[in-house]
Amino acid sequence: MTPQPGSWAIARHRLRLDTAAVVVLWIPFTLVVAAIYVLVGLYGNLSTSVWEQATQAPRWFAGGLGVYLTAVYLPLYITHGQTRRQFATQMPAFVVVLAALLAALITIGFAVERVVYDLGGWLQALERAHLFDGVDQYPVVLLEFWLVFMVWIAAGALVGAAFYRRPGLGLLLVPVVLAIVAAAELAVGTAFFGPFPEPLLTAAGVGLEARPIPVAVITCFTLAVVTAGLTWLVIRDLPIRSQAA
Amino acid sequence: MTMSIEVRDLELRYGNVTALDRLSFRLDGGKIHGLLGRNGSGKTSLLSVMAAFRRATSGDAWIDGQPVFENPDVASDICFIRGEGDTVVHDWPADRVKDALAFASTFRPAWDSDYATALVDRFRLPLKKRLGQLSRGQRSALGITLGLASRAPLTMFDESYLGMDAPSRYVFYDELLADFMAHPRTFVISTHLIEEVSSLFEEVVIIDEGQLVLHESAEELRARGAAVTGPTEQVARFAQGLTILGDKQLGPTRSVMVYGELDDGQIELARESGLELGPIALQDLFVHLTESRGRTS
Repeated sequence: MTPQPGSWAIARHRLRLDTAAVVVLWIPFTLVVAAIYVLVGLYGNLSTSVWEQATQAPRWFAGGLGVYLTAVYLPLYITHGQTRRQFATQMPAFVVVLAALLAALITIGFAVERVVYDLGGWLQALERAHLFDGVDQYPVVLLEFWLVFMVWIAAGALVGAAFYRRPGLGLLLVPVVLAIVAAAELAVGTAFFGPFPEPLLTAAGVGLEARPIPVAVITCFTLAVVTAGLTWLVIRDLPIRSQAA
Repeated sequence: MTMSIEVRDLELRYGNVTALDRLSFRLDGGKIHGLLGRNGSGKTSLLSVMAAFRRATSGDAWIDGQPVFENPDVASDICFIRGEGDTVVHDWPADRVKDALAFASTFRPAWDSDYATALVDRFRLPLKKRLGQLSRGQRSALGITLGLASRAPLTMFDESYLGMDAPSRYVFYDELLADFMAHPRTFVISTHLIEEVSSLFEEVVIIDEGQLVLHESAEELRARGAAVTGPTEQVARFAQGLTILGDKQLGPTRSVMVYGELDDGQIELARESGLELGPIALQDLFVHLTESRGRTS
């Protein structure tokens, strides 16, 4: 047999490509957010954190990246001589690192915003509950977004794999993955409800409030592991689709 | 480095449709094998199982005695190019020809970058062009480049000439043979352009409706019939009672393809009658074998 590609070849390949992609996409994203600061500053009143609102976009980016991982890249890796199991064992490590990178960029954003708000004399108030009380609790900010991004990427990967395998299965799993990310968001106290209407949550006694850090960590890790397990069930014998004529 | 392939009782079903029906055969390593079959005969399904693109419903494919599906020890030794090749077409912005080559070079352990560059030049592929902007023939040429430059011990091409013009197809055949001579390995080529490629085949597998019709050396297969050429009258007399697969008339000269191995007496008779005996065209044999099977089934 020919010597095989180095161990963790898929994870290293993805890290090289996606780190570059995140850095490149972060530039226009921050420019758009900067433009929002200017508009709000000119025509309104900067009294809350704009960056907190802006963190919605990276969440969807993380979810989309998860979809791409399984719907586009997994078939490519298999057609280039990798196995489904190699992909499944290397992806969690990659997701952990990429989520950390995204969380670090978010944390840096909060830090930069704090400096700008201090210079302008504005109030960097938060509109939602978080694991952190103030944005200067940088390690907790990093932790919260790391947990959230991990679950979003994992959820995206699950629904991407399901759609690749069978569109009907993908549709069936859409509410499931929305529930998964909503549960993660509720665990850190923010306000993404997914398929759950707020009154339903209130009736169930699930308030949008800050929760203890250990609860959030255990909940998000459990969700990520369960999602990865479901993804494995979908991809373990995934047939590579025939090409369209 | 070459690899042998074996399939045992291979069965693949898509719902109620049986694509491969208890197929068993063994292909020796270090040869160029032709895989022939009519549309829908199960060729692509068979190659997909042999490349671990699909799991068989039952039975398995074995490479050098190791099961193929989900086996990291052999996975990167197998390169299966379907049609125009599976590559980075949806991987925007890294979806250019050069990105496709870079992707393959990362995961193909025996990848030869210099050879890939030479093939890109021979096929006149634009390195910076997006895959979505390539013509179908260019996409096929890229698939061939990825397959040949992978130098995978088992390389399989499935209709990898779609959209290519004749000169480009001949470049493919020339390169395949030259590279096979320089770096012996196992090739399986599935094609409908039988006459163009048949001279490359050492062994031929014909399948139909998911079942094995025959597996023979190309030489033995060609000996299953003969092309008889000569004056019309003599050819007609000679061919009387034989199964005729094809018949051509050019002025006073007639050429017929007869099926069935000729015995010494028939060969002697042909010589005495001034008839020329030649090898039968593989394509005519293929048509006969699969058509007669269709009639009997």
